[in-house]
Amino acid sequence: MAAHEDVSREATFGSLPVTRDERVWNFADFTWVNVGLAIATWAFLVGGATASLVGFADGLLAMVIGNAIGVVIMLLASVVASQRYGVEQYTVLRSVFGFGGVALIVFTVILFTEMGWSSLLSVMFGRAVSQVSNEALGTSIDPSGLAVTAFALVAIVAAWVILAKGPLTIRFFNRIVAPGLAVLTVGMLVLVFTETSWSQLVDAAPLAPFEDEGLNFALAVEFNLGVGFSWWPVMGSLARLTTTPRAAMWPAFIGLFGATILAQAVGMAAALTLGDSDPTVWMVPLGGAWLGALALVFVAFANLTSLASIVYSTCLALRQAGGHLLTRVPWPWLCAGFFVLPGVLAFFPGLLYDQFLLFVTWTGAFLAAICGTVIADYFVLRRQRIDLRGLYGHAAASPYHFTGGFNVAALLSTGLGALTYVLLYNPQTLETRPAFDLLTASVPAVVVAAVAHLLLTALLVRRAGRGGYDAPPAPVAERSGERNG
Amino acid sequence: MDDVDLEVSRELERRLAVIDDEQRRDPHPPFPRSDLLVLVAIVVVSVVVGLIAGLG
Repeated sequence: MAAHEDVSREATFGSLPVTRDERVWNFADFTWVNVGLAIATWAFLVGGATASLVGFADGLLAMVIGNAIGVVIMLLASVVASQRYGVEQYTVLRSVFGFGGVALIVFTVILFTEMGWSSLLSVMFGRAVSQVSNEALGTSIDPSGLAVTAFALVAIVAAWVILAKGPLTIRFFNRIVAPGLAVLTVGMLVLVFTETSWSQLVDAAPLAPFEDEGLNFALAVEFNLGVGFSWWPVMGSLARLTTTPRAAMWPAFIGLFGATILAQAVGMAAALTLGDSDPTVWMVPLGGAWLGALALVFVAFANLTSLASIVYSTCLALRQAGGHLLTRVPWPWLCAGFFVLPGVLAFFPGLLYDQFLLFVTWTGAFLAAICGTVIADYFVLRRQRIDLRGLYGHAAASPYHFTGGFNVAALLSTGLGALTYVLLYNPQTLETRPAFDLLTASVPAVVVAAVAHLLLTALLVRRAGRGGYDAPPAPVAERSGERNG
Repeated sequence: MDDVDLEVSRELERRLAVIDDEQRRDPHPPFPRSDLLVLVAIVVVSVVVGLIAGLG
């Protein structure tokens, strides 16, 4: 690739800061971007999983509480700094975790989170196509059968082809899928209420609850908190293209809270009405053979574009965090490498798909702790001021080099936050402490990570004069701007 | 440093210079405190409602 082309890619989508001319999204534009992001097939999965724990009224309450808290904390930890400095979030994170620390987080938490979501979407594609085949061709493909694996692998290859063609192809498909999913959501809402009355819906029993009602509600809230946090890996990179802080924050909240709740609630109502948490099972009973099959084909197609969007942002993050090693890897090869684990997981279709709740809560444990650390660092310790040049400085020339490229205080704090989560609620064993029923696990994880970061930074980093926390006041131009905020 | 690194480095310097100039003329403001308070209020109200629902 010619050097000029590579710069062009970096400038438009990479880690370089954007100038004012390049900030193209106003309030309305960014609202549509977020509504399109929120109304995706995974919202139906979340609605179905919530219905397995609680009924409609409690489920709606859990969705509102969980998403409100999760989305606000997630947005404060991703959107604000990226918007102000016009820099994607993995570059901004250098000021929190150090250059090496960001790589550590990207190659562990982010990589496995996004690989998990990719696996889920490819299996959902496989199950949707299987359902269409069962309906149209009279086959009887098992939801965990080899045919689902084969279709999931087809989804991965198709997503890779879309990705290899670049972001314009993804944007083209998203322009079809986002409005289509909105129509599908409204259509499902109408069909659900022609099948069942409001009182039947409210009285419908949860699908697979535990004996303790309080625990079911707390788990539903915790699950929806995890859903709110799960947007974190992609939001900062989008927000840098917005024109003002308000044009970044509130459209993101409207989309990721408002539109998500609507789509999740429709999914929950469908699950409670039809007695199954799997969205690919709903379409035919709701819409009849042809309409249902058509809806499933669209769901399968929508999953392809979601898959491509997720992998695109993750591979960009990998490239930036991987330094010279990954910058030299051709884009199609990098994307292909990402798909290896989802490809292997396709051979076990039920592993993540049937354990969706577990997957979301596990990833939520780490994302909540990261958010707590980032908020404490950016809002409290740095008072919303970052040295933009320092984000791009080499090694010891940057204040964000910390100790050998790692901010030990931030990494330890994140670890402590995640540990707090697991002590209160272990997603694997489902073991909980009494405090979990009232506090959840994510909220204490955020608080512990934030407080630990404040204390550990004072003890380990500031004393050593590292991290640029005690840098001289910002230039006059910047300080005068704060009076305008 | 090869051709790609040099191009990226030059482009970064160009952008930082443009941003410095933008900041001097019309600085990017920090996140508004009033909006921050509203967001914190959303979290606090949600936590309280959750506690009430959990206790109920």
